[in-house]
Amino acid sequence: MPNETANNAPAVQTYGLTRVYGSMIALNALDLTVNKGDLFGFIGSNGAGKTTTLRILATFLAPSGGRAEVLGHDVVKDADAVRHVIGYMPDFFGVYKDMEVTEYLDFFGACYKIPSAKREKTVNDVLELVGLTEKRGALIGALSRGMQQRLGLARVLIHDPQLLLLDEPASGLDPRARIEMMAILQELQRLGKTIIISSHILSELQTLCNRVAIIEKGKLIYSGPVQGVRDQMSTGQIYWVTVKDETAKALELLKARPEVSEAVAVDGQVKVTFKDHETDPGFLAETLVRAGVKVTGLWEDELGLEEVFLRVTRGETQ
Amino acid sequence: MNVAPVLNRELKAEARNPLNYWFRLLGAGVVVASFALMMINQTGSAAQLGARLFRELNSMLFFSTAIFVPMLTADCLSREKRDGTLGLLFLTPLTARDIVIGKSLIHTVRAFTLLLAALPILLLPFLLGGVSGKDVAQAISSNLSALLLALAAGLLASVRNVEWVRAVVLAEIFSGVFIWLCGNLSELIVRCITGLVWLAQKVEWIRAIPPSLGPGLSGPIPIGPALGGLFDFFILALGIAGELLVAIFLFVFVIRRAVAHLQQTWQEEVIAAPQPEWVKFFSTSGFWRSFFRWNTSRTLDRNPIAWLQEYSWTARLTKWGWFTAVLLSELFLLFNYSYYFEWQVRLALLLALGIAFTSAWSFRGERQSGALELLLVTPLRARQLIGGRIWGLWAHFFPAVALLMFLWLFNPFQLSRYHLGMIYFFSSSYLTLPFIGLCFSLTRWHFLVAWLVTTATGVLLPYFAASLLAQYTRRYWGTGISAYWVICALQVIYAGYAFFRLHRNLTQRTFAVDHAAS
Repeated sequence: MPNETANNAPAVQTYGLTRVYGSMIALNALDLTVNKGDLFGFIGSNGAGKTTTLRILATFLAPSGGRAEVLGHDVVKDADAVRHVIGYMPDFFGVYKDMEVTEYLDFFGACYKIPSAKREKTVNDVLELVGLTEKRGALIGALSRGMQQRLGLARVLIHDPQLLLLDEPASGLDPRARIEMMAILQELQRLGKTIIISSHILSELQTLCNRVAIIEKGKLIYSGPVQGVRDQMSTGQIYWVTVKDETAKALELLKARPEVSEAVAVDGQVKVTFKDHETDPGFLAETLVRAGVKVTGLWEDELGLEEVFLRVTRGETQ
Repeated sequence: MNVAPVLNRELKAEARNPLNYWFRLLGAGVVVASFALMMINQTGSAAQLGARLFRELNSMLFFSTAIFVPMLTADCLSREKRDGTLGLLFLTPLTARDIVIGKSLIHTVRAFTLLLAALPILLLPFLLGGVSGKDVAQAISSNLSALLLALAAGLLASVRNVEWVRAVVLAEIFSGVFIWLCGNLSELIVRCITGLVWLAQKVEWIRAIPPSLGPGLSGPIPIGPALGGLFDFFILALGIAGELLVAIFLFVFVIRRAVAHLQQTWQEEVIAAPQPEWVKFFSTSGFWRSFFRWNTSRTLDRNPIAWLQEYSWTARLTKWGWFTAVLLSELFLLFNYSYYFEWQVRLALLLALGIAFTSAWSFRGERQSGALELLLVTPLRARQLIGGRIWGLWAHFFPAVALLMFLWLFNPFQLSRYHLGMIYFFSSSYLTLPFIGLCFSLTRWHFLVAWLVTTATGVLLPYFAASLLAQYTRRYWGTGISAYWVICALQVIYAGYAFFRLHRNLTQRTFAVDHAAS
């Protein structure tokens, strides 16, 4: 029943994955699970071990210890099967600059043993998906950085893989190209692909990914839903209140409450810190409304992914 | 002039460059091997051997200088352009002249160290005798001139190019042209001056000199016989001075041109290297594009890696360029049959150098661009990657090699056993060199080192070994042809070992990866 096992298996599962370069431990017993259909963000400082992990999953590198499975296939013992189901895009283009766009895709199509009768249509389809149809006859060397990045994505998709491993796909792109790249990734997720994406642009991962993993010095620090890491890091004690015209009065009222440890005005808003994170924030609005203060806004202080990242890591690299 | 910072930086960089050390080792090794071969083949007295050794070692040095110095110098400024550091140099108070002169001084020192490495062997002919002062003077003059002109050629090519390959090709062309120009100009100078002397014998006013002024001056003056050895010395000194002066003049002229060109163009941002005119001509012409069109789809389906060798029309142009060059050379040699066999060996050696060059370059481009990493995560196995590349390389050189071997084997002249042995040897080299070149193309060495090591271990060492062994076996066992079979067998074993290493490196990913893991 190997196929059935593969069908039920998570997209990626690693068990104590370790990789050593000489005396340097790049990956230290990494246990990671990525479910099918996830758009999974892989976050870490430079040298944290992200690229090494992706290279191992892509079967380019062999692990020094532990093991990894991709869609139920072992990356070492069953590397051929893994190669058919993954698309790997490294953090460099890896292009032949003197080839035409279609030649390049045709070549990789042939490497994946796609029959020539089917290749032309496949090439056209992926070019359309990444928005490069108009550049099909252009020399790769003449393409802009953003277009070469899209071509890299088209190459990844040429054999219709189930899992995409994308290492810094948006690095060096201008804002428009980055937004377009993210839109393509969302479309791919909608088409049922599992995507693992490593990036330094955390604000984009925050909106794009449903799950993230944070890695530092080769060790996994967190893996789970984006909201989960926020909740984990959030103290749950800080709320923001905006009122109409009477900020000073609101400040006085809130400071007087026994549940509040601190209330300060920041840019016309009131930042309230509770003594206890179990406190029900409902009293904030109630106190102010009873005192005749018009409340225009009340929300919990939500940590951004960047802040979470800074809190959970120490910026240490190998 | 503020050359010190450039000199300082370049000296440090060159001291760390392993290429220099490899080159010295290889240079000295080749000279020693040649020396050994000549000693084995020696006939005649010690003085005759000394004279012959001196002549041949110096011509080897001359050609090595003319070929390798431009190659090593060609990237000195083009690399700065590629890396974007040239502009940074110009943002300091350094001028174009400082940069070019600094670079030329450093490369002169580097070239001299290469000469020094070969010097101990070059001194051996003096111990054997037979080397005259005239020979020494001529050798110094020609080697110095070649060095200056080769440096000038490399610098000029480097200033005018961004890509390494283009810079090297242009540098080699410039080097050939400058050396040819220098040789011809200096000869012209000598001829003009000796012609003037000859004319002086004929002019009437000399006839009119009264006999009282001196005996024999009142008629055409037979200057040559009258001066005897002094006249020969005069011609020799004139030739040497002419050669050196022309070389210095050309060097200074070219350096000035390079400075001017660099001054004018350093601000031009390098987006992509511009296409040379001849490339534009072929690539924009519908006729030539269709002429070089190739049915790629079948090869692509069958062997995508072999397809990589031939996908571009420039690759096909090179392939048929080699074929045409061999064909033209053979036609030329058929009409100049006295040189036929001697040049046939040289032509085969040149073709072997070409195969070594293409093989040693093969995986390098992919390794540097990162495409190799992408190929290794496709379902293609290491064996298929190697096999495809080997097949591609064989196919690339097959027309030229097949033509050469066919015409060599079925030539209209009598084929000696030596040449039959050479045919075996070069056929074996053609088959085995791609394995060796591919193996070295995966190392982190500089491309030139990879190429030279491929050439040295795949062609030159076996060539010397075959010649030595043939001498030995001929002396004791008769024909000597078995020596070539032995060497061919060794080449095949070596290629097998190269294949094993290549396969192991690809499967274990122990080759040099330029994109460091994070």
